[in-house]
Amino acid sequence: MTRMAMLIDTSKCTGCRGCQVACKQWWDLPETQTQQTGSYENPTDLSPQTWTRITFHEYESGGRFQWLFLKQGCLHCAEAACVDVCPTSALKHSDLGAVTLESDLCNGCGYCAQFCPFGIPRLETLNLFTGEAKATKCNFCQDRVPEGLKPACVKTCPPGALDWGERDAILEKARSRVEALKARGYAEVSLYGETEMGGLGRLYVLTAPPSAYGLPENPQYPASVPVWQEGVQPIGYGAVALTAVGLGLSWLIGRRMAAQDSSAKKEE
Amino acid sequence: MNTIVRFKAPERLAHWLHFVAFTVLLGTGMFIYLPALRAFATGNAGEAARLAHRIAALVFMLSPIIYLVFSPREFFESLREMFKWGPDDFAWLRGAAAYYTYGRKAQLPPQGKYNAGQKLNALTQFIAFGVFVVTGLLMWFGKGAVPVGVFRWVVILHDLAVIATTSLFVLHLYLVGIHPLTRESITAMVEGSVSEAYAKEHHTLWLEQVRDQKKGAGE
Amino acid sequence: MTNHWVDLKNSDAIFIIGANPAENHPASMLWVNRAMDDRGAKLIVVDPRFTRTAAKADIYAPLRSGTDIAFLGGLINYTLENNLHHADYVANYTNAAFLINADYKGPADLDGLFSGFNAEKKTYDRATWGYQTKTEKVTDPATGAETEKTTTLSDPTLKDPQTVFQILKRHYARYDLDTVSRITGTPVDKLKEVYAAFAATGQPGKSGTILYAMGQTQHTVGSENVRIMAMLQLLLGNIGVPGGGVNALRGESNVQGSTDLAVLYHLLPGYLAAPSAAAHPDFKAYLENKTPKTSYWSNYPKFFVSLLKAWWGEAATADNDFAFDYLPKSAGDHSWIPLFEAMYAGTIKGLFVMGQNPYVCGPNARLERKGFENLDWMVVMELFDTETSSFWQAPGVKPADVKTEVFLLPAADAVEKAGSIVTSGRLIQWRNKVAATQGESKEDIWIIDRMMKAIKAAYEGSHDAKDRPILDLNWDYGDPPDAGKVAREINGYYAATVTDDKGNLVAKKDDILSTFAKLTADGNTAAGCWIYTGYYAPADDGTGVSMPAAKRRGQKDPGGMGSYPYWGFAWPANRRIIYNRASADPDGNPWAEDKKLIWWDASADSGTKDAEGKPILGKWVGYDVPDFAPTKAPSAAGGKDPFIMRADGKGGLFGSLNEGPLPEHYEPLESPIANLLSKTQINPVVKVFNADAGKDIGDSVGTPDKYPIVCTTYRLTEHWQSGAMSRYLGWLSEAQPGMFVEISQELAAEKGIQNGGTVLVSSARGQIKATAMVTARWKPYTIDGKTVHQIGMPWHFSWRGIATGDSANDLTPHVGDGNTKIPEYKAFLVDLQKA
Repeated sequence: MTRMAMLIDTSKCTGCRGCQVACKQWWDLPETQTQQTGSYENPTDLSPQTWTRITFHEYESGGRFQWLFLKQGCLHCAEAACVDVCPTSALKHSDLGAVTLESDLCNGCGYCAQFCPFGIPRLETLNLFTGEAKATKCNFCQDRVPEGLKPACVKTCPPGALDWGERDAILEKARSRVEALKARGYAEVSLYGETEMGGLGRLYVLTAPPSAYGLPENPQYPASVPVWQEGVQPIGYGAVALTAVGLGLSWLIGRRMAAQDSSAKKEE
Repeated sequence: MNTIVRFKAPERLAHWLHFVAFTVLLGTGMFIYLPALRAFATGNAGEAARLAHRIAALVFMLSPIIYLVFSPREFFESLREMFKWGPDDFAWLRGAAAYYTYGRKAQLPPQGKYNAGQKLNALTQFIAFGVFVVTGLLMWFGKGAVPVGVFRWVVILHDLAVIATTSLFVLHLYLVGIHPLTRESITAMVEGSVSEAYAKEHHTLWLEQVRDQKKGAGE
Repeated sequence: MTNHWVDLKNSDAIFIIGANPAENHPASMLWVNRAMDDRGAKLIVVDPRFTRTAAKADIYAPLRSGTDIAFLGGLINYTLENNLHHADYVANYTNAAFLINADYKGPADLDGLFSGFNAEKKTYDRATWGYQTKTEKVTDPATGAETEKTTTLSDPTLKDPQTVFQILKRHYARYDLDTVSRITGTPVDKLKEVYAAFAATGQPGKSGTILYAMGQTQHTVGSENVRIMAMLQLLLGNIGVPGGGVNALRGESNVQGSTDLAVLYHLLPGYLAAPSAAAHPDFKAYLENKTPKTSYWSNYPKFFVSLLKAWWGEAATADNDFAFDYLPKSAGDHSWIPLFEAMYAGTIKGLFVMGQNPYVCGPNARLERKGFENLDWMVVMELFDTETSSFWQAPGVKPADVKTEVFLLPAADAVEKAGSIVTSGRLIQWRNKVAATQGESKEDIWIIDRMMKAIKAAYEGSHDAKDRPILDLNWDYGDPPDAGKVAREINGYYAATVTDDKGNLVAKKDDILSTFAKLTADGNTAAGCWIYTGYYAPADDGTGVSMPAAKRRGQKDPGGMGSYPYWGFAWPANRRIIYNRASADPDGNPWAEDKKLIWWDASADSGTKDAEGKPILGKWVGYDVPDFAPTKAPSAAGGKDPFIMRADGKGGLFGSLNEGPLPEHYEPLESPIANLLSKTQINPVVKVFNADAGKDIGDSVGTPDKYPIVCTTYRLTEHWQSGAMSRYLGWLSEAQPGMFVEISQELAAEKGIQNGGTVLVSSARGQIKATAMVTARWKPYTIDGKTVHQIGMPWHFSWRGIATGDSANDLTPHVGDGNTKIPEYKAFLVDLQKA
């Protein structure tokens, strides 16, 4: 099946928070208690109750002042560290390429939150002692999309800054948009997500460097994941298996030798 | 037959608590380590496993404290022993495989209360204990308390400690439960003593020490 | 709007001043983006601060609040100096060529005033603002009868110094770049950038649109602000053209509907005038005063009589002047501020508040709230228990001390009732009821219907003449009342069976009207709002299905200009762009291929036949309903007069508002500087109230020595008006949880204020606490060589709900525009300090 993607054109985003609210409405997520601390940005972080939000940034470069708005949320990496470390496969890639999260399978270990290079998943701890917890994040509206609907945020976006479709087509649109913005005089336009992490499901057209938006310039798949998943853990199987096998062999040889000894003794 | 007292009651309690705790920790831990056991990590089974792992962790942390509090002399003696390594210990290690497989005793120098293998096991357990407690507590309570980069290596260290202790655990179970040369020594942990013959065979130097002490005490 | 929302996509330059559509009309950005993406349109934003709209602009220019006339006057000057105006359009479609009275004098001569000012009454005698005319006797060649014909003198070359064009040029020559920069604080290079970009739309075939909102209207010179935008657009040839226009972004979802239906003290539905006791003693005097001899308004009596027939039905006849005497007559200025001054003075006993929260949204709010305490009773129709309905138990108020009896009637939400809503683009769309009301809530129509029925019942049997207006009031909308019945009355219907002079049936009594062209002044027609006629009449939705026009959702868009004529109904007569005769040149051809809207087709069948039975050819065709006599050729008399509602059919570059025929810059009531253009500091015709001036609560006016900082108020995307609804909603309150004031980094440094710290903002009328939002999006201005700081704040907050905070309107002044009286919320003086 073709991989789907979301395009976020920050040149069109007006920071209205329609997406932030639409997501909460669709997923029945409650509001959190917030304070006015000198910014339009609220809530101040993703959380189990906030799976997408807008971050606000003031940026000046080349004599041009910009007020940047970034829709933050899971980037649905093709090479997803969270999927690779999830011990219960609660996190996995759907047929359409989204990193979906089946809450029933989540055992609250929190590895996804610790290994995501973008720091997206948020663990909701229900009981610190028993470790009962659930991971939460944007799941590209995993119940809407398979039914042929757009994610709730895309549907609501008033200025049309959000687009949704087959990833190849979305990349095409994104590339032409980047060219159009360059022609319009934006000096630092870029497309974020084409190849990062194997290619992101959430693509951004940016009009300033990624760091101006709080995005990592060069996100890397954590080196610790292959060390752990493909190194240490298989070594574990190997070590214990070898031990067992080694001991089994030792026992068999020993028994044989003892039997030979006693039969030799009998002969004597 | 004469028997020699090897482990006092608190030591034995601590050992068995440690054994039960370790088994539960290992078993429940395997639910998220082994993909084949994934189903047990979720749903009601998962909740029970998660709780069991944490309760067992508390017991795991408690057992050496019981050892320390109720048999402090033996605790520190064991601690000293596991760190005392000499040429005899390395020679024993070199010859251990041949001894346990073929029964060839020739290359084995006489051992004290703990032979080199036991010292190695104890030392590994000691270090692994530290790793387990620190990494385990961080994984339990410390998400967000340490930087993400640190946490990623915490889980790896936890796994490395699992691999080391589990391999030794398998070896320990084999020697204690199956191997004809050593399985009788389980009495050490059940009744607290071993036969003189066993002590003479496996811990010659220790037997001499004990006899000397008895002589000194006028028995 | 003269144009409409979808039409924005046809624009080559979108100029936004005094508006913030990205935040307050978010969906409109879709069309702005189409213009930018598909046509390469430039987005220009002029605003005291860098808003979320400015964040999308190609060009952003700051300006000090209250200096829009200076800014736009400079743009007019730039346009004329560089000959960027649309010469053909100006010469043919505006009054540029007309000669003005020789005694006319303007601000250059009278230090800020125009000729005819009465300082005592604060009004103008407009005699010297009129055209030069000549009256001659004319003999009708056919009948030999002699009549008098008055014509306006004009100079088509536009060179005569008394032409409107030359007077306009001289007037705005005083608005040179340096002067404008000194007044507005906008750097000269920014002025040039904006001016060049927008004046480029003066080229024939190019069009630019101006979007504005409260940032233009909520000033003592608000009406002149809008006037100058209209003049600019006339000069650039942008009125009546796709992608052009003077476009108000209405601030409420149905404020357009409410002004259309005259929920205003000085109007009757359809923008007819409310009669005044002094000026209109009787029916005849009223109609004479209000009916011009030319322009479409010459049909005024038809609209007015039809309205009276709608309201008093059978009781309104030719014999009783159609019940003219039943209409209440205004006895003065009943606008908002005087209303609350009267409440404060204790002369008003009762108040109905419907879906409004004056506690939070009224200017000089502390004074206005005191007015509530003087009422005997207050009835509030609301969705929530707001600050207004709870004024008697507000923080700091002892309920035992308040004698007002307050009734709270729970009302229904927008989706819990059926009815129509009108967009800024005059588009009327019917909406169905899609949710049941909660608890005891009732729809507005039910509440008002019950009230009126109860009032009628209370007066039943009375023989007192003054009770007749109530008893004779036409009131039959069903039980429960049906919005469709009300709609039908507003739309209009035949009040009697009508036959033509040959005895043929024209229409039966109660037949619905499809156009206001059929309205008559003889009492045979009834219409509750003449501009709406047709909106509820059956119409095709483009697929052959018929339904009331406002209910249509037809998707066809012939011509692709975004007219969507089968979707809803745009008043008047489903015209999407008004004055659209001007979208074609004097000969009737579109100015450009991609701006084709309507054009003259000389070979089309007009639908009528001549004396010999041959079809008369020639009519206006295209993608919109012509805002013009459909068969009047460009070459006919009046064929080049697109502005059919004006007496001379021409666009008014030179006009006539209370403070003058031409917009002139005056400073806001509270200003940091003396007016640099003239000695007339403020709009000379505005009323300055002074109840308890100087007291803690009162009409005090602030001066720059104590209050050196300019302040403005505005809205956020996340909250709605006074916050009565949005501050009760969790997701919205989460996004904007509290009151803040936006401050420049420079001002913050001066005052030792940190971002997120608490500050006190005070004006001559009150003091509030807020969180400081220190930002690079605001920069100090250089006004006449001196640094002047400005700050701004949202006005949504008060003490009820989830998101609470102090109210900005505790600070705003009690002064209004010279014509509309709308309060000057947008520019006043404050002081600022760390809390």
